[in-house]
Amino acid sequence: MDSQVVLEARGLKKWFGALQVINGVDLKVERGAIHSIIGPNGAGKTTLFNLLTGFLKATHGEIIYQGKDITGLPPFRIAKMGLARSFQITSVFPELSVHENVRVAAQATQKHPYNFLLNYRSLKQAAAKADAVLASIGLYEQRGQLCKNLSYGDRRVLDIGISQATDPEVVLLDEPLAGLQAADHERIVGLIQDMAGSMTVVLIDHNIDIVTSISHVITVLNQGEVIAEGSPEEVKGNQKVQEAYLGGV
Amino acid sequence: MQLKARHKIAGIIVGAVVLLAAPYLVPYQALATQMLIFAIFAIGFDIIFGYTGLLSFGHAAFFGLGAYGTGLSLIHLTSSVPLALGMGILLAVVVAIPMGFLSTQRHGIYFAMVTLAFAQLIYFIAFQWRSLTGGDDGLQGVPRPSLGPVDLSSDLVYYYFVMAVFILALVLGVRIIRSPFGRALQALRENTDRAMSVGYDPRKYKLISFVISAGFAALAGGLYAMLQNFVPLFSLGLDISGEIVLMTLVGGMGTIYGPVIGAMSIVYVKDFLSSQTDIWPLIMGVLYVVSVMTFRRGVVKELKERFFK
Ligand SMILES: Nc1ncnc2c1ncn2[C@@H]1O[C@H](COP(=O)(O)OP(=O)(O)OP(=O)(O)O)[C@@H](O)[C@H]1O
Ligand SMILES: [Mg+2]
Repeated sequence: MDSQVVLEARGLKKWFGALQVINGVDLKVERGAIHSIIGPNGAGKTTLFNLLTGFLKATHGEIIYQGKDITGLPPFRIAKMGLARSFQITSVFPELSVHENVRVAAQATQKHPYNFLLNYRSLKQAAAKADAVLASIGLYEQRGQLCKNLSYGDRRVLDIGISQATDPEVVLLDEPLAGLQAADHERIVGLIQDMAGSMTVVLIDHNIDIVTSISHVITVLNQGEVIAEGSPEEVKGNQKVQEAYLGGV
Repeated sequence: MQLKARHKIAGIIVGAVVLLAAPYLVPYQALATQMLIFAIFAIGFDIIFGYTGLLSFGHAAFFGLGAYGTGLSLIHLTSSVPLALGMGILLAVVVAIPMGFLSTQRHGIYFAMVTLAFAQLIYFIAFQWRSLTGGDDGLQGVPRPSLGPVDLSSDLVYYYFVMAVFILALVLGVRIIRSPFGRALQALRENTDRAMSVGYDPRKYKLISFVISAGFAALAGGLYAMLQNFVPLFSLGLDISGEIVLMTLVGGMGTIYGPVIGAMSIVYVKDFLSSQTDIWPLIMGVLYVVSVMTFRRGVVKELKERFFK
């Protein structure tokens, strides 16, 4: 049964100085699921992602990924093991072309021992991967543009594309819908569902309707603690969840 | 943004003509050589500054170490020019590894300060170690031996030798930038966290980039020692560290060709001004300010924008 768990946090705690932001979180993410993490602003969701991906070091606790203890590993090592992420604040390579944004990510998974004389174009697989990702996220037409010239929504989508380019096993998406008009939501939701066909998706979002409609499991975080977990129906009916959300307003 | 093929060919032809004719276009032949030497330095500096986004204020250390390493090898060890240049590069690389290791743990201004501190340390070691380096008298009597059958003692022949080395350095620099490694550097420059999150180890890439740029600087330094038959102590000094930054900025960092043009023009203008007036450092200062402000992205990028779009 536990072999179904692809990513697990055990007793995770994080202090920023005297401020305890993650307060003993246990989390099990099942392979192939869309597992959402919701909670009011400041609940510690982004911090949890940063701990899971090595961008922050946990004060206490362990992180197990694919049966391996990855606690304390640097982000690039974790990324290489197939755990990808996007960022709450759009994080792309502004001065590189749209294609290069994705290609350079795909390149990271290829063997390119430090051969300084090799032309990057000869890494055909990375270029093909970038084309495929751009086609699937609907940015193929803009592939030659500089990333910084894209619209906000397109950059948001590109951020997700970069996360896909490394063919991850698990992808953590931090509020992919943030700042987007309702009209763009459908596009991103479709993308998340596409991704879920080939990888495990852990999703942070505030849009309850969307989260409950696409998730298999929802974990509710409040003030650094898990206050509820279960199927969308279970979570929606949970008394504590309703209090946390009402209390937060 | 890519120059069209036609422009590229035109550029290569103009470049080739300028390179071949340079010794006849400037007041004295050694000046043309010096221009190319700093151009080699600038290629390497653009890799660390323009492409990796790390502003080093200590690259004179590598220029100087290359100069001393090559000079000392020619005086004491060997009459082989490639070997002596190789020794200069080796010396710089051996120093660049720990210096890069420690400085790349820091960011922004702190990185610049660590490189500066290291460079000053090396300067003072060279200054104190008179018996080996000649202290503030510099290293005298660096020979310029023949390269196989080619006698390099004439300034004109030496220019064409340096030109050949420059072309090799340029090709190498461009290839490094276009390699998967070079692409990863640019991704790290653009957004370190994002690059890290797809699997790039920033410290490793930054360190390798630092060491590569040190190698180019040392090659330039070695050629400089042979040009002057002498290694001045200031080859390790702050002025050189600052000048290479300006050369790269004025020409346009992150373009390779820009810093090459920046370096060549600055060496030329400085020589011209210093032969005309005593207040040349002041005029250079004003020129730096004006050119960095009008060509904010460097001469090459601005011209590309204005004329080739
Ligand atoms: N680097 C840091 N240093 C100090 N405090 C931090 C740091 N990062 C986050 N915090 C604090 O930790 C708490 C949780 O922040 P976090 O970003 O994880 O919340 P979140 O659940 O992602 O919120 P949101 O929904 O607004 O994105 C907040 O009070 C925040 O101010
Ligand atoms: Mg957040």
